[in-house]
Amino acid sequence: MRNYMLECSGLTKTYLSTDPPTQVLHGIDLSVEEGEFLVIMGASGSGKSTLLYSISGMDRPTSGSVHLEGHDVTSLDDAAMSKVRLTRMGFVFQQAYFLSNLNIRDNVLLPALKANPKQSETVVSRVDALLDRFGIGHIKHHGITEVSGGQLQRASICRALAGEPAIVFADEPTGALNSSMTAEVMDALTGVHDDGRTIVMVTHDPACAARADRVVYLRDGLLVDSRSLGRWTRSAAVQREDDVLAWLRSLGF
Amino acid sequence: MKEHLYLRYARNDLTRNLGVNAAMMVILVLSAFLMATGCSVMERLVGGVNSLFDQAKPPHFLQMHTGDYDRAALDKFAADHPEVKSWLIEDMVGYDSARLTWSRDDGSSGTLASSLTDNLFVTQNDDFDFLLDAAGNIVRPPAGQVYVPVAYEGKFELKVGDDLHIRTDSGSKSLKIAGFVRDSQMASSLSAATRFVISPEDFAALGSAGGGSPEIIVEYLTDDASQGSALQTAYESDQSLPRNGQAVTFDMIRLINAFSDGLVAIALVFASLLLVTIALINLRFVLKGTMEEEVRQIGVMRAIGLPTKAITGLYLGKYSIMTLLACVIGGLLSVFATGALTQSIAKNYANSDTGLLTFLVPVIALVLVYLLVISICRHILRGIRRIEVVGALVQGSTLDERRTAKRAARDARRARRVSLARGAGSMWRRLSLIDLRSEAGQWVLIPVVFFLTALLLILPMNLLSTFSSPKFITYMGAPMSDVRADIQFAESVDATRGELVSAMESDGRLSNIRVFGNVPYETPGEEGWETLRVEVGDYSGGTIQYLTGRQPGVGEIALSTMNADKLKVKAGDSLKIRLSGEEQQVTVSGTYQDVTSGGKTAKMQGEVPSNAASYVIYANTSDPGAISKEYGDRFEDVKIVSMQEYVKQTLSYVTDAFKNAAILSLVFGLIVAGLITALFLKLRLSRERRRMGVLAAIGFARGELIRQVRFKTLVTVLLGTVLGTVFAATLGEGLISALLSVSGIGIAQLHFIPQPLLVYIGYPLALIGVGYGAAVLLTSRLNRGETSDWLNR
Repeated sequence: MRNYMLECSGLTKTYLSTDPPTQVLHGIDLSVEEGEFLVIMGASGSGKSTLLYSISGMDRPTSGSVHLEGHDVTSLDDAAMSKVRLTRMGFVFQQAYFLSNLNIRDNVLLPALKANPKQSETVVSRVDALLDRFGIGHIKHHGITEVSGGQLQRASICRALAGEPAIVFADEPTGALNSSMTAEVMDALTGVHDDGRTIVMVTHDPACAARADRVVYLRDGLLVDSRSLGRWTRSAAVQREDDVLAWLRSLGF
Repeated sequence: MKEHLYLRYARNDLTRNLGVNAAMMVILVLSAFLMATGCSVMERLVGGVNSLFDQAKPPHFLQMHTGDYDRAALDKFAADHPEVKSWLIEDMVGYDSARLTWSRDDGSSGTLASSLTDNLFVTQNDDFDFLLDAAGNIVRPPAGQVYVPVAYEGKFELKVGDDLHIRTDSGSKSLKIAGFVRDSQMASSLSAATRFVISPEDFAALGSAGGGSPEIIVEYLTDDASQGSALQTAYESDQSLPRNGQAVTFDMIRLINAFSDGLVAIALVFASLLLVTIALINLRFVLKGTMEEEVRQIGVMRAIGLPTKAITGLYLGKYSIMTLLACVIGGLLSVFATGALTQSIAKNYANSDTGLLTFLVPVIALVLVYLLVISICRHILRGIRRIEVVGALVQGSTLDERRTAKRAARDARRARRVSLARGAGSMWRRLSLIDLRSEAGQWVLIPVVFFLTALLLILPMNLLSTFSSPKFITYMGAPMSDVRADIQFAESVDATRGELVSAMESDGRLSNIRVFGNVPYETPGEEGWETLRVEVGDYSGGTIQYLTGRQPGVGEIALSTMNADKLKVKAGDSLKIRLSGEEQQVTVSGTYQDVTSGGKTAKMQGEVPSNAASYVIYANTSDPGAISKEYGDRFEDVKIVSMQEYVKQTLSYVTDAFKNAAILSLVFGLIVAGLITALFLKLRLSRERRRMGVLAAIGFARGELIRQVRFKTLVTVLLGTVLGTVFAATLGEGLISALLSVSGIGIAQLHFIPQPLLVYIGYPLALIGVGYGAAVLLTSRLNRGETSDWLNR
């Protein structure tokens, strides 16, 4: 039996707040290997984001189970789940979602400092190194309104990595960016993957999806297909994008 | 059509944001209610006093006197002063309360002994100073009947048909109670005497029966009430006139009458102003919050070409309806409250006719509240003009580009100054403090509201405890002591004093016995010598508070502030006085506050004189109740009471009425503080959803998010409450003193005698509890719902 970083089975999610209740996920079985870069695709309303939030413990699935590093996380209470998110998971959202009263560095520091309150010096130097690596060290003292969207999203990736998580979840991280900023951010994520980090990303941009090791396709709350792409290389980038696009078209995307 | 749109919008909004609107409504109703009630009570009081004065025609100047007098001199004085329109000498017989009992046909009976006021039996006057029944009729009881002061009706639960028994030296005289009378001169509990009306036949019988002490009041009615003081000056400079009792002018009568209920009305209006201020601050917050929340809708309305005026109208319409409703409900409620609060006014003064003013005064107050609220709304809604369509629709911002840039720059500046790594304590607490600093403009609402509410709670209660404290006696020109004995109506004042003092001195339970005699000195006034009533005795161990200077030593005199003002002297000045023609020069040692005897008293160091008009004896004991009862039984002509009882009875009107104001303020204050905290948090939390979503996503537990909100609430609530409490305890005194000193009752500087545990610990804790409770209630909802909802909605 293989060791999966993340494994979910029979996952369903029904929103009871609507009348009648809306079932968004209809029993999803999905496994992510350690070090894998997995992309979830699908049309609007197919349930991609719901799937991401359910497997990351942000929302509670209605039924089914999620195992992270072999541990069942579905039964954890809110405090324990929060701790898992804090220490084992990193998040990148479509919008940067930063606290406006903290500067870039403090926003990035926040989860890492919270997880390691006694090692603030180590954490700060690690974060400074991360910011330098992603080319935003020079703006670390800036307010979040003083930098570009691409810089902000790179800072967001730094925040996700600052706590040295086992897995990074990204929900449409380039959805609000122009093409050059998109490339910036995807390069950064690819770099994270190259470090051996597991990534699960939701996107509807085929070019972004082409960076993944594997792409799964979701339709109406069900996983309908999946395609392995192998390791991404810059030289094969265009070819991969074409392949992904052709595959998606065959699925009616 | 447009009107319908506004109404429909208002209705939809009212149901959609039911909680916020209901809370807002309650706050508006309470503000309107308190404002209308305060104004109504004031109108009723002024009306009641006026109406009583119209019917009863109190004198413009009066002088009390015991003993012989020269009738011819009085005739001459009246003849020499053309401004005197009418005058009279009212003969009275005074009986100590211990000599009065009552009985009823059903066998029940009781005594009036516990009353501290002097009971004066009189016949009805012919020309002015009438004593009136409840309907305002001038009563003239037939032989065998008596009209009893209305204050006794409530105090002893007397009824028409009861028998009143007066124990004279020649047996008991019984009179049937025919009704109760209101007395324009002596209505207030501050007055030292009260009058019973009987027939001329019974009066003659009582006068000759023995046991009572004859007394007269010389009363003058002038052309104009304002001539009362001038007449008093003229009277006091004429040596041939009787003058050994109190002298009172019309202004003083009026003031004493309006004092207690007037203070309450002022307290209510003061409280309502505080409440209206709180309501307006809150309204501003809610309105700005609503605009920010609905900025996209506003953007759409502007995008489809609705003029700003129409959009403003939508919001204004809702608030107009709410405020109007609140004013109507508050006004209606105030009708009932006014009825309840003015019962004592109606009873002691008169049921003044409900005229146009009765209706107009509260209505004008409510209209002012309405206009104030609406104009504030208009002012805030002008911001809609500045909302730009693109900014509203895309960024959801109420600010135009220039302002957005300005705010971004400000946020960035702030963010640069903060350093998360340098802070101490847990991360949620560090974040909370950073939030409080960066969002101080929003959160400041809570400290401001709690500051004002603390004042609203504490100041009325401090007034109440001050006026009901035994220490308040020091404001009445008397030293702190446990029991007080008054010898005034005894047949031989001096003999009684001798017996009493020697009995007290040989009593091991009593200590620190101090005797003071009242001596009518004279001092030069504007028109010659005037009476200056001086309490002579040993002040060396005195415990009364001096406002300036100190207690009098040998050859010195201390004056009440009102006397010092009148005589235009201050501590250190010298003053010429004389007694029986013998002049002497004394130095003013200091001034003190006094509310008794019209606020005009004096104290001089010296041997207690014999032949004083009256004596006061103070003593300390551990059981004032038993001592006063025992000595009261033994010395029938001496009024001896525990000091606590003395203060309680003398100020009962004031304290009873203050109790109402203090309770109203407490209840309303706590309700409003709780509601506003809840309202604030509700709006705040809905605006902070995304922020909380981010924090939850990166690993903050719900419990920590809840703790953040509660912590921020607690910090701001604490700040406001502590500041308010400190302000109330320090500058609050000055504020109230200023209010009191303009009222001219002889108190220039009021030092609170608070119940520190209650007002400086209990009330703040209650207030903090209410604020924190609201936070607990509101944040408990944060345990529900999906994190992703917070992020995406």
